Amino acid sequence: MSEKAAVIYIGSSALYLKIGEKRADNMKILESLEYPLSLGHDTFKKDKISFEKVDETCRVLKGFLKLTDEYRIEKIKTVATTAIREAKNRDYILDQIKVKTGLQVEVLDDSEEKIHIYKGMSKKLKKLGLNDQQALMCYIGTGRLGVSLYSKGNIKYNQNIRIGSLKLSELLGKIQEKTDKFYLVLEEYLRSFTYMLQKSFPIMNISHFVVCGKEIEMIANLCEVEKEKESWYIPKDKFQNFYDQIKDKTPIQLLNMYNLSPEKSEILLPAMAIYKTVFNFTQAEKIIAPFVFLVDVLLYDTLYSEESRGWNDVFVENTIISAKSIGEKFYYNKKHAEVVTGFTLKIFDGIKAIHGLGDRERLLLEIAAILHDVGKYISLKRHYYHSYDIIYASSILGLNNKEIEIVANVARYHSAKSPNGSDINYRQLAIEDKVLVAKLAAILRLGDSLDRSHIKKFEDLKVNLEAKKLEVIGYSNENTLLEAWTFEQKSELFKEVFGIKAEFIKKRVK
Amino acid sequence: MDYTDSKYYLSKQFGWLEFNNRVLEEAQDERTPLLERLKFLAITASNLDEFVMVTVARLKEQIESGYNKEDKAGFRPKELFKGLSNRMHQMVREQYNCLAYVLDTLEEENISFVEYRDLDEKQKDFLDNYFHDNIHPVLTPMAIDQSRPFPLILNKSLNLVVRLTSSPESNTLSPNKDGQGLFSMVRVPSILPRIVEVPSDNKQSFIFMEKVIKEYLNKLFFGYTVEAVGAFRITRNAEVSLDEEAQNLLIEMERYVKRRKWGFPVRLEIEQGIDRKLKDFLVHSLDLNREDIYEVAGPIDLTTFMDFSGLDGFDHLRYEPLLPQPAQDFYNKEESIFDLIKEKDLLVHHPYESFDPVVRLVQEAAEDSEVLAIKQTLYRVSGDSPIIEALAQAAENGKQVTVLVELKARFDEENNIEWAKKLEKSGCHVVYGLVGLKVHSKLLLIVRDEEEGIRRYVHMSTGNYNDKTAKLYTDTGMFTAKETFGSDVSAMFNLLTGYSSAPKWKKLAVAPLNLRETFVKLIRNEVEQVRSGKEGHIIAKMNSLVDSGIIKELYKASSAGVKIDLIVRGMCCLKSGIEGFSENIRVISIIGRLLEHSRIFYFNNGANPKIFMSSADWRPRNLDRRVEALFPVEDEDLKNRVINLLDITLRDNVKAREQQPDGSYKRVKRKGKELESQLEFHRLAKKAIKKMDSKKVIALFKQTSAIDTNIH
Repeated sequence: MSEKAAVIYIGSSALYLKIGEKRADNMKILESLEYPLSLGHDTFKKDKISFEKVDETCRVLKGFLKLTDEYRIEKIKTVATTAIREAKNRDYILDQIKVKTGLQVEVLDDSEEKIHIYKGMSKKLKKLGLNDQQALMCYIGTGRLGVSLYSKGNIKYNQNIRIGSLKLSELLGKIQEKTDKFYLVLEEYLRSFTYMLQKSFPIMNISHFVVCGKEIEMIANLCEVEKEKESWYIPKDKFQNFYDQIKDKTPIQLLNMYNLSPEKSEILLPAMAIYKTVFNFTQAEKIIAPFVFLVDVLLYDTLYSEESRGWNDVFVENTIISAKSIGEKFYYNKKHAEVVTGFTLKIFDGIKAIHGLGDRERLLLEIAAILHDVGKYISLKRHYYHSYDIIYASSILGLNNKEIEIVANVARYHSAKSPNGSDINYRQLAIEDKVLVAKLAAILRLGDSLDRSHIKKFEDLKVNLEAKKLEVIGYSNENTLLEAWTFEQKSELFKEVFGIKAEFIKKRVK
Repeated sequence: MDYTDSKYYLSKQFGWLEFNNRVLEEAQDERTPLLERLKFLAITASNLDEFVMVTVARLKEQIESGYNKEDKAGFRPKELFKGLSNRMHQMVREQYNCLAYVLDTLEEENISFVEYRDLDEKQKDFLDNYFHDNIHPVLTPMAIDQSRPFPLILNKSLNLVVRLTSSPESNTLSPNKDGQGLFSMVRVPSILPRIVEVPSDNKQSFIFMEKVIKEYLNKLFFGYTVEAVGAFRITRNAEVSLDEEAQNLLIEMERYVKRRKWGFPVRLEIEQGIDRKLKDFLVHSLDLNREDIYEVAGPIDLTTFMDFSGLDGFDHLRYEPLLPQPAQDFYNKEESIFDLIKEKDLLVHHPYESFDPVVRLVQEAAEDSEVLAIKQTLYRVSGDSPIIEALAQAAENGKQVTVLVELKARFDEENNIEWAKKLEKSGCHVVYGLVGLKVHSKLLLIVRDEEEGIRRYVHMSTGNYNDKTAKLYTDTGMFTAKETFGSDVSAMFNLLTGYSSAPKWKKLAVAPLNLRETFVKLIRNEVEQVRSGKEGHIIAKMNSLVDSGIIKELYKASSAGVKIDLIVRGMCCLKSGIEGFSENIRVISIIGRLLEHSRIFYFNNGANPKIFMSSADWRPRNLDRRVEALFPVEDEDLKNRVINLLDITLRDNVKAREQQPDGSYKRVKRKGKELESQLEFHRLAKKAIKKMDSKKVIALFKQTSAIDTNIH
């Protein structure tokens, strides 16, 4: 008997079930179901999902479970995105689903959704042999647009924008009745985002434009392009022609012209307008649309967990690169950031026995170390506040919202202030995250103190954890009085959090 | 050219009657054995019943509601009704002429239908006992007067209407003071055989039950004088609307079947020479017109002869039965049916080849430890179906069994409700069709968790999963384990159970989604072939051809030079052989001892033939209002078998009729040797098995001789 798994995805315009099987050569999809249900409509229009739709969702999920029973599947992963995430009655919905179907739904936040997609995309790009080139990758969720710059095998820049095809149609739909040149309104609206993209990306020599999502699949079909090796290629002129053909049509006309579902007819024009806007940033001659769909990526991850762990490591690199590009954008002191990161991680690794944290937390600390001083771009005065703001507002590829908030808080407390219950930013964290922030901030402080002068005085560092104290031994032949003093000052928080004293010892390099 | 001009379309309704007439021809044919002739008569009668209940009733409703649009063939409801009515009256006359002749001839074979007055005392005694013991207890006479209105007469039931008088001193409760104009009704019980055998020496004598009852009416109407009596039968509208939105389709269907027994009357059949007052009384009470009354010269309701034609002992008056042969693709194969199918696609041609492999597949699946799930569509199933048994068993063995039951299979609803309940009880997941769409496709899917992973086995067919009709209907079915078919059929079930929208089909074309469009593309492709200098050829075999959209495409293709051979058993609205228009189209219809039922489509595709089979005819209801599947036959061996099948059918010169430009049909002119395709298929099926047997014998012989040589 082969290994099987199922993924259920509660999307904005449909419910999906895929059942896959682990085969030696490749994953085999056994069942693929799509039940159109526009939960997104409710969420984006009325802020919450109607009772009837929740009911229908449960009914269909039960049907899905009948099928998973058929294959005797035990591993079922159920995820939801924007439609549920942004619904005001989300907690009730999740509870109803749990009670009626027994399914525990994992609500992915926006960046988690994109990580999965990007993972799938980069894998495909590698297969397509675009490794050495620059590509702009674009993914429309129904709620958000993700744009990122893929360069030499890594994702360098990444930006999330809160416009999605469905959202756009909900947002501007009313205007549509008032004008027969609705596309002009759309294009104008999108222009503001163009500016944003120009600011966040060094847009130069991008030779490829890679798009994925349900929308591009529909467009590829309508443009009647053939599929080659699991990807579609839509030439620019074909895309443009088709856009011109549909731009002044209403959803109803589109529905009739192309025999689309009502859901699809509504998002067609907004989606194309978005793609067109982003397309124009590139020098690409065609859209490459590899078939990457959240459900498939998740299913693959579930079935091939080992291989996917490998991909996670690759992704950690992307996360670090993404953090560094943010640093660069705000003219951070790269050398200092690197030194502090090195010291901090050394201390982190040396005291594993007392902090009990894992790889993921280590990554968060690393990102915080890279970006801790980034607020100095705004002002030296209380720069840690600004660091918090900048990090909090950034999209760091591979970190979800919660994680970004943690990193921002760690940076917020790396300097003078200690975590304080009266700070709003700290208060809104969950209890376990508060502790985590404190622990990471305490370690970062030690690391930072050892490069107080920003000139890397220590050639090496050793960490010695004893029963009652932590010895940090710095090897240097320079005058390190300043660092020793700062260490002393900054180790207060450490003592408070970990219950042991941190001592600095200087040794000469032989 | 205006392809939609009504002059290019034959009337669907007339086409249907013409089809029935072709069946009648089989009854009239001297070469048809006597009892088979009775059977064909019964079939024409049963066909007419259905036609009256559905088509004529609908037409009457249209006229009633004032609907007056022309149909595709240019008829308005009133004139159409008139025309059909004339044709039906003519047909009924021919039926009874034929019956009289057949019954006369049966006398020579010592089978006789007798009148009561011709019986001897011994025989009368027998009937006397029979009446008192069997008939009398189940008779319920119903009087009709001011206080007791005309009773509801059950659809298609046989009844006697009786005119009575009572004498003032008779102590009856009749309100008619003068004792005149009393009417009563007696239903001829349907639970007893209509044809009663009367013991007689050296021959077999039979009498119709209503004739016996007539003799004993004074026992039922004690104190009255029976003035006149006559038998009659009412046929009612069967198209009662069904509330598909009902919460429980199963319960609603049960109610619906009941309701249908009481649709408005459409036709009245009465005995010829019936008492004038009785006739007036019936016509008046039922609110019918003159043309709705059929006075028949013989027993009412010829469907009775269906069972009678199976009369014990007279095999020489019947066709030699064409016993289904073992299916050649499965014959002498010891391995499990799954291994067979895994190896290669397999084909069965019923009823020449047995239905067993289909039953065996379900049965093996029920017991196989690797099988996870069985899914099947069921449309019309036999009463004690081994498939139902196997499915129930599978569910009890812990398999996931999903059965899509189409309750709406017309005139089979009652039967369907029964076994649907049975399946539910045994733990099957039973799904009752889709709102507004009949599920007509015939699909069977078996999911097996094998060593190397999940594998799906599929059976797709042109005919229902009915082991009984599989002996009488010609159908083709294909078994495959190819992944593309498996995933399509899997997706089809997900669509049918209502948990998914349609995927992009890999192999199937599915109505009402893309079946029509697929056919149109295939037809147009032949036109393209002709344009590029190749030969365009279409062969399509089906039960009826009605869809004007498809017909238009065929006309265009014909005009472009595509050769089109159509084998259409029933109604065909396309007109063949019109010069410059449809001269490249030939339409034949085969009516034989077996019911032609397979739907096979051949497209030459520039000498690279594409072959499909389907559950769908080219009718709007199949293409737009039902769930149907079209599947390709891809295996080269199977393709050749199917091409051969079509070739033989097209060469039939015994049972094939060819459509004339005016829409009538004539037997095809015979050139050379007689070829009756149905017999030929039977012969070939037998031959294939024989050949396999002899190969085996030779192999055995070789083995033994090898041993012999070793000894020496």
